[in-house]
Amino acid sequence: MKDLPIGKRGLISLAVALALGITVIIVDSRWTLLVGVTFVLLATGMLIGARAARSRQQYHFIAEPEFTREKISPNLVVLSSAAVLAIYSAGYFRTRAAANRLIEQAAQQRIAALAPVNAPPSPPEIKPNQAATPSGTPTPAEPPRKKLATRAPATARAPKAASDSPADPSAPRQQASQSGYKDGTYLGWGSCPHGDIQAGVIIKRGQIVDVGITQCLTRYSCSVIKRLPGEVLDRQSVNVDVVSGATESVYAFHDAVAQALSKAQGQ
Amino acid sequence: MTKNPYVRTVPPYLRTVPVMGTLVTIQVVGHGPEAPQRAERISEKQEHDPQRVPDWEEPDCEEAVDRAFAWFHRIEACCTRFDPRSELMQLTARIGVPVPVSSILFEALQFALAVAEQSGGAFDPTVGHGMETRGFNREYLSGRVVRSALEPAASVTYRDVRLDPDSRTVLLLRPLLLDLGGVAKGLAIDMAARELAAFGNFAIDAGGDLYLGGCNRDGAPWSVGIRHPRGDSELIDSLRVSGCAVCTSGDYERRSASEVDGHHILDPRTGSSAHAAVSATVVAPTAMLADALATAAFVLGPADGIRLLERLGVDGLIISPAIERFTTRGMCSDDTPGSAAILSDAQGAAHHRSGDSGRPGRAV
Repeated sequence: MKDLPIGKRGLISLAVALALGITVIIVDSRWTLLVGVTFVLLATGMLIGARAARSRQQYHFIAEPEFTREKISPNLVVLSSAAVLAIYSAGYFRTRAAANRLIEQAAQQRIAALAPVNAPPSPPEIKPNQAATPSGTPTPAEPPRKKLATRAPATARAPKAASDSPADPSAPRQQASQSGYKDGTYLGWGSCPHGDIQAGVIIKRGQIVDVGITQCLTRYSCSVIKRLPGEVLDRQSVNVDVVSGATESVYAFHDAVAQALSKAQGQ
Repeated sequence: MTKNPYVRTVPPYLRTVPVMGTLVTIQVVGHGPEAPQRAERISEKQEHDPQRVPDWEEPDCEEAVDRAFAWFHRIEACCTRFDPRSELMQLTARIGVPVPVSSILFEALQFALAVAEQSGGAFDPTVGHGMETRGFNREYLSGRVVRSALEPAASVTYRDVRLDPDSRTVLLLRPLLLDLGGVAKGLAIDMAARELAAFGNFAIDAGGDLYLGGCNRDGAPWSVGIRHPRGDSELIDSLRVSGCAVCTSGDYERRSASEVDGHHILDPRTGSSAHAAVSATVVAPTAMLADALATAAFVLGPADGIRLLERLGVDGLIISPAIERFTTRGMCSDDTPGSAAILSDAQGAAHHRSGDSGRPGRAV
């Protein structure tokens, strides 16, 4: 009882309540019985309350540091899920029409942006661009060399794609490309270790009006798990559904588009 | 389990679209008896209100895939570094003033900053300028070349970005270029996954960053290969997963044009390409988290990377430059179910399995 945080006054009132209750119960009267029981209950309640107060104090003591620690390191899993929920509930496109409008807009941008890609080394187009942009950049000597180098992989890959079709040095021909396309729908193939991609290009009045993927044949099942020395486990033939970290399909798409465009030029 | 007459099977559906500088493939797998989530939901519905079940419309798969792709376009339009009109680039033009932003950009930034904090700066959304000066200023898919007219603030970090959750504004303290590449792609995958959740079984592949929902065509958990960092068509491991994202950061993509040994992942703390690992794969409940942590783990390298992943409660696999495999405790590869018997590594925190380096093998 000593460690109960109810103090002397509380203890006295508890005893009084208990005594009163018991005496009232002893004096046998139906009316007073109810009052007595109430007093006893009151006393019990006080006791329980006092105990609870004590344990709350203890809990408080232990819990506080943990709570603050929790606050310092937010759970990233929860945070990312909450972000997804927040954006989803913001209701960006509730209707299919809205979604489709967006997709169309994006397609238009892609088409607009695609033309320069497939004419990789067209110097007259790039150089003015470079001359215009570095005005605000701090490295004026760097850009020309860098940009050409950045484009190098594209140039290097273009002939590879063209070799599938009877097209040859794609560079000079594509330079004059914009007007050189014949109207129609053209298909081209590109391949990467994980599969083949067929791209379709639609030309109307000499302009690219649509670019998309018409077929995507991924063949992950051909892949082989790299056997590591020391592993003696009997593995069955590996057949995976998808591959993480495989981004080569972008090259395949480029090759496919390049091939389709070379066909559009009447090859 | 008997076939529920109310479950109409959705035919397998697959679409590939070029977006976000890569190719995104979404496949929805037809429902078999192994589609537990869906079947349960319908039987529940039947119990509560049998009359209404026939009215229940099968969600339109094509429409859902439309919406899923729309998220990719929407988030790209908002968070791309390659379009000066994007909200992100508009934001970087205003230094020192709180700028109200859309919920997509705000949430993406908030999350990126949280990961930056947790990883001690190994992941940092302010590396944009570093990326640009090192030649990563050309969007891969469309070929758009972007060069921002920014003064290069030498030592910007994520601490120079302040968010106000109440007014939902962003304040950039110094001129900096934000790069939300990984986070934005992850977010788009998560939003797409949410749109497709009604179908239960689906896979989203955004250039090697994956989200796998439910089961594959055979009714088994999705089998995911992890690309070998030094072999084009080889896999270094494979996993069986369901209902989570798998993202890999590797040094084999997007080699830097301006540097011989450079690649697209910068160590924000040093400003040069990270070389502590050659690939890092993270398995997490959301793609946003998996993608960001894969980058962070890649930068930190095997020992610190595994420690970080363990601390944050996600699983991962980190490949060292010597092609040694380091995994978290919970990572159990598909082909070797018993391979949890992983040798404890000398470095203590990381688990290690023998690799190509010819180090002593593991206990069998």
